[in-house]
Amino acid sequence: MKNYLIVFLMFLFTLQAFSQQVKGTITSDGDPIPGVNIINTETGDGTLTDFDGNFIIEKVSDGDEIEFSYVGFATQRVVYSGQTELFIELEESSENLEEVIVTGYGSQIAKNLSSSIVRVDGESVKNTALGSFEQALQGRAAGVQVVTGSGMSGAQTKIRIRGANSAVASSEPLFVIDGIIMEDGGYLDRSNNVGFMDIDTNMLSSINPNDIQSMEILKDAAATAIYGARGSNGVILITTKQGQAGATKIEATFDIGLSETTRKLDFVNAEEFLTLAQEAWYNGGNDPTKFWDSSGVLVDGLTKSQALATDTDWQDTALRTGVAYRANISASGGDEKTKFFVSGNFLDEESIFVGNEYTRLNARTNLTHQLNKKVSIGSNMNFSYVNNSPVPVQGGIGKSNTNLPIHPVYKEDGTYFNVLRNARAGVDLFTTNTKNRSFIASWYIRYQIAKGLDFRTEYGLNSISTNQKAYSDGRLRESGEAQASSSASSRNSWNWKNLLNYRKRLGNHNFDVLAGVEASKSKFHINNMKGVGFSSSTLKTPADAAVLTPTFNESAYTFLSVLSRVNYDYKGKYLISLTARRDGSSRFGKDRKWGTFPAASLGYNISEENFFEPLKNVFNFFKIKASYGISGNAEIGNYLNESRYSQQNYNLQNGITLSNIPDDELGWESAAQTNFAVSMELFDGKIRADFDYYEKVTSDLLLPFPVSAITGVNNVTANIGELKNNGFEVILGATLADKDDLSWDVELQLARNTNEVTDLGDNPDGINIPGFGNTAIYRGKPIGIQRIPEWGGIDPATGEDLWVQQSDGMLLTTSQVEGQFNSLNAFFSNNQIPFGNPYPDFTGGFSTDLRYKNWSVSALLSFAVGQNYIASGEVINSKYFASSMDLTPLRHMLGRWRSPGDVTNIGQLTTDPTVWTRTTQYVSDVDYLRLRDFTFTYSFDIPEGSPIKGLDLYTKLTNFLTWTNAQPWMYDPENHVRGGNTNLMDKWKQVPQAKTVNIGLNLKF
Amino acid sequence: MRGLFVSLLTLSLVFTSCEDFLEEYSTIGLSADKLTDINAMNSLNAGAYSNMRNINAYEHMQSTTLVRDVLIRRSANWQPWFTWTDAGMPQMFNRYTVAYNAFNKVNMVLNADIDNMYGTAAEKASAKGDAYFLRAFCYFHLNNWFSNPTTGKSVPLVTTVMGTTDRVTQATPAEIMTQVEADIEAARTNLAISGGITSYSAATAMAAKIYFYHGKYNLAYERANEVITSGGFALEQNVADIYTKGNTSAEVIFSVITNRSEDTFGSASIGFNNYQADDANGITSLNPNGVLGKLRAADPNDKRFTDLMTEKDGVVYTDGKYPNNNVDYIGIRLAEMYLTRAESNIMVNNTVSAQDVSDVNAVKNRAGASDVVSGTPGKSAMLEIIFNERSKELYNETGDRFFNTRRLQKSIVNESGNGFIPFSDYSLKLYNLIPQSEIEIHNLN
Repeated sequence: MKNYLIVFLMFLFTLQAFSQQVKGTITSDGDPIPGVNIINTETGDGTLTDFDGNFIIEKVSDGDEIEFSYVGFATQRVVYSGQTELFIELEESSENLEEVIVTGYGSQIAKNLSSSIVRVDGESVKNTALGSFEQALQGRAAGVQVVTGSGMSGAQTKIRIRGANSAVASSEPLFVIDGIIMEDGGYLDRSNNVGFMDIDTNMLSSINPNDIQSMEILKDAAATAIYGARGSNGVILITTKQGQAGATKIEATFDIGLSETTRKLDFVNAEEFLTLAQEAWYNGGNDPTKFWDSSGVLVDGLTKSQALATDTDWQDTALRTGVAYRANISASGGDEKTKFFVSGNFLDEESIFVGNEYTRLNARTNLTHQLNKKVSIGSNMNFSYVNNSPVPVQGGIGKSNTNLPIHPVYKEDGTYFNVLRNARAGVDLFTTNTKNRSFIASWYIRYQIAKGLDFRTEYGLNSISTNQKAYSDGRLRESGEAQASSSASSRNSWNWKNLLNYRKRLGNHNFDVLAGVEASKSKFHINNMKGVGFSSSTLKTPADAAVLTPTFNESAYTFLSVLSRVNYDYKGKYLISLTARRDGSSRFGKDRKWGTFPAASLGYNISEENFFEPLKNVFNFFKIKASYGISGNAEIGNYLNESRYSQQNYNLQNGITLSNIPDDELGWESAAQTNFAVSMELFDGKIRADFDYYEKVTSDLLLPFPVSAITGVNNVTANIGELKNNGFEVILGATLADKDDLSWDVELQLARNTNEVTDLGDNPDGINIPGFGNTAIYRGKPIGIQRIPEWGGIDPATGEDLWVQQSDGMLLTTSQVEGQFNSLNAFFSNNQIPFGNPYPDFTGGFSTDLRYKNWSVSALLSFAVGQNYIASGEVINSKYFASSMDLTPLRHMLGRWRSPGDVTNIGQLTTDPTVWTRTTQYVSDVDYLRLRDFTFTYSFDIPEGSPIKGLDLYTKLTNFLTWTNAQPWMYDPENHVRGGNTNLMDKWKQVPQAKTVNIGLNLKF
Repeated sequence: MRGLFVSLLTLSLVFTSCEDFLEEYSTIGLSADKLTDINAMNSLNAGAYSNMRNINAYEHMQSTTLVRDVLIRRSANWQPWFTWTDAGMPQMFNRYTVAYNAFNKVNMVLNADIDNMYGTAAEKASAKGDAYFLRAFCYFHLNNWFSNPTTGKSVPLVTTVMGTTDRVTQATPAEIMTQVEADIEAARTNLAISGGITSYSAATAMAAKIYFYHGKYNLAYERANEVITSGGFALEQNVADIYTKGNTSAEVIFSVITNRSEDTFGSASIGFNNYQADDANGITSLNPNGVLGKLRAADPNDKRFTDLMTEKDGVVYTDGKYPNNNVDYIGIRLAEMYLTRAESNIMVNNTVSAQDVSDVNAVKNRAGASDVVSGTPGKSAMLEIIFNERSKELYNETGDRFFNTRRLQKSIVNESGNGFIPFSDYSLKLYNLIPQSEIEIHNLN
């Protein structure tokens, strides 16, 4: 701490030199440009041009270099040599090199960047039909894997930057919006739900995509170390739009969209069902004449003749064509002192799921004001309201196979047929609604202490309140009693940053030094009321219930941090950046409260060298970069460092049981990352290429470590494992045409990542994670694979499944296994292998932007190749549908084994009981290439003097085309699984995704 | 202005360098440092009793299938724990680990400084009594299931709170027995002052059961006699009422109470699923060749068969003791005490008394059995009668059917029903294996 004070005091004593005043005007094509940034790089003094492009800068000395920069224009530098007035003509620039990259607690020109940061322009998320802005990153930033939750409104997204870095802690990147760390995940505490649902509303969906100026993705440790213990999963910085000095600009967009499921599951129809069911009935040794009476296909009063006259596609009862309306309006402008950006956004959506409704309102105000030469203040404020009524997935569309195609949706008297297994009843009789209000804001004061030395204090607030109601009709519950719940929860986070920034140029040496302290606290609490039993079906709030159960929970965590960064360059040629952050958190064990996260990066702009001149005809820019650093993952949960008892009541008496044994050494997961990169531009920027190679080793991996039962718990959480991600990223861009009436840019983003568990501490070769499924962590394998029995195909002689005996590789049929081992399960428990890879080998995208006169077309194709998925519900249900005769199989079952010699992957149909164990039989490859976005825009010519400055008409296709090898039991190749990385391949029931067509109108005033 | 900013900066440095800011503890729920009062002790006990639901969940099912009272009709998709090999029986779900989770809590209570806590003598005694009772009950069951007759080793004896680095060794069955007896007497002493979750009578009845299986028949007699003569309990007139009333029955001395709002898993739900009279749902049905099947054939009008079994399509289901999944797990009841008192008395005196005959007949008469004992049979004949009576009375309930068969070194019907497995063939194999992970961590054998 002392060191920082000394550094600070040194800054105060910086000397001031003799100097004078300079006036000037800045223009482009003869028009004055207001708001140009002017800085004396020697002294750090700066100013901005006024409305007429005029400026006055004080205290300029001979030999000082004055820099003129403005977004979208090439930066110019002038060495002062006694002029009293300067006339500067700025040239528009499409060059990425001059682009300002937001780096976290600061910014830097792209050319001088030595770390690995990808910038995605806000333009690419504008008017997106996707549920949340982060979903638009798919295919646009190499190394960022995006998996969209589902077509449900407000669905969550899973993002992995350079692979999965953790087992039980979160692997989601840190989202920072205008300097405020966002809460991500869902609004609700899942324990609070009335039914088994995965319909939580994504907190990130409350951000208006049209407010976003840019998204910067920090990938290597040199970039993320400034976020210390929270940076190792990568950081996504979102910068919202700010006003510019000049005439007020008003922009309005109106949009309407229609959506449908990307595809449906391929279930058998009524006729096919009866063929298969009767065959299974016969194979099971039953009397074929008793099929209708005894097999169990006739339930709930259904007669044979009714069944024969019915052919229901149950998916159609829970899916529909969705419709969405969007409106967005923004105003921005200001003068040299005050600038503003104000926007409002409205979205009303009925998704592809019957019953799902979603409304979002957003209001943003971003303000900056220059009080005087020394002091400026500013504020970014966003309020959003999300009203979402999701519908059950497992209990809705997930019941598409729990009735038969020969079953009707309704009985003749209008009541639901077989109500507990009826998909439509599941959707209709379960209602839930969440209302979320979130206020995200920051306020800052910036004070120029001395030349080049700025002090900035900023207070940020993130306040989210959620009200949720749910009601489950008694008909949906085995007990017959209706159940209702109502909860109110809030998350309140604040952070306070105090930053000192010193910029200094000494000859050819440029310094940019940052030092700061930051404190933050986040609190969550929830009150929930659950009620069971109502005297009338018209009563739906817990207050009217016969039995009420209230619950309450709250938790909090704090972070305290000291951060510093030094950026140095020599003539813009040799670049060095050093970062260090020291983080303490309430989440860490008492012997490990503080951690230090250092990083260093080096860059070399070879193209600036004289010896490079001969090559400049081809390579106008060539940079090599290397970085190494350590960042952490503190998303390990609250209070794991305490010994905890959880409630376990006995006969209505308060009971407790030990639930956590603390580890005083418990701490963040630590990721050390090495990055090598080459960045180049050829033929005057017409071709651009970036290559990154990285290796990221996460050590102190938090894992459930099995301990003896004598301790009172079965496992403790400790930092014991090690995990490695390595890979490369390629970005290739080209400008194929760049003329006034024709421009065409194309870009390819490609990333390869391999994930491998390298150490598990004292554990044997693998750890089986307790819980649903057979998730395992094995040394030498990717994290989150499955430990499952190996299926050996179908025996052509008998039509039985074959199983691989691991001791000798022998193939045994099911009846051989049962003969030798008593049951399949006894055999399975000793014949499991770690299997599968839940991560794609390659991900990426190809984008093209073509503009010809008034027409423009942009398209994005995204892809993922090489991942495995283990199907569960629908496939297991298909295989064993005849054991209970109450499940609809998928159509692939038609290819079943029928007589000796048949070679097929589908066994003989039987009425044998279901074996729920997942096996390698259910594992399949999932690759896809999809047209993520296709936008066609026509810009009308606007006559001079019209009050309207611009009018665009566009149509946008989202997820419109998909090419995939995904098996017919998957709704969509984007396989989103909630939670961490331990259950990645596996989801009980699949959820459809949506494809949409939008038509919109964009007006500028 | 500059002064303002410098002071703001200084303030922020001072504020943010404050270590207390990082001390953030949960306000909800208990942590170890808060377990300092009688209420916390009672909560630990209640948590441990909640574990009993899990510990005993499969007790009746394993016992009844091991002695082949029932046959497995339908694969329940479970491990075949009812079959055994030379290496013992497979792990019986999580009985072992849950028992030690419960020991963690009661050991916390028994090692706490209860005497110096604020509270009445009665409050302190009931907290200790509950903890001693549970420890005795669970170790008694573990010792019966996990004693390896070949190595002469049982489970580790843990009477203190253990940390993650502590290591233990296995105790001998005799060492566990000594601890169980000491604990159950301590439970009686404390519960005599004031009952808690468990009553003094329950502890006394449990003591009778413990001594009975430990071969200390004089003490078993004394304790059983004390419970019977206390007048606190009475046989139900109607056998089915025992199971529908559960812990509220006048006959039931100790039960693990099911409360569906707290825990959907337990003995009741397992029993309900296992014995359901439905060939699609129930997993087992009566084995006509087993001891119980033959007893039923001999006296088909006994209410324990007519009222508690269902016959459908020639298959007999033993569904009556778990009429739904919300009934209690009955641990000890008065009928068992009568049979224990009778047998203990015979073993102590080496002869049969009129009281022994009347004890057995009390149980028989209530069930409307046709084979009421008349006169005073000889010792071995009477012991055979009592064995059959225990089988009819306690099947599907606790581990008694298996424990008693083994105690008396009786044969078990083989799987095909055409022969018997003698004691010498099964006694060395019929024990549960300690979970492999525990063996590895503690280097057990």
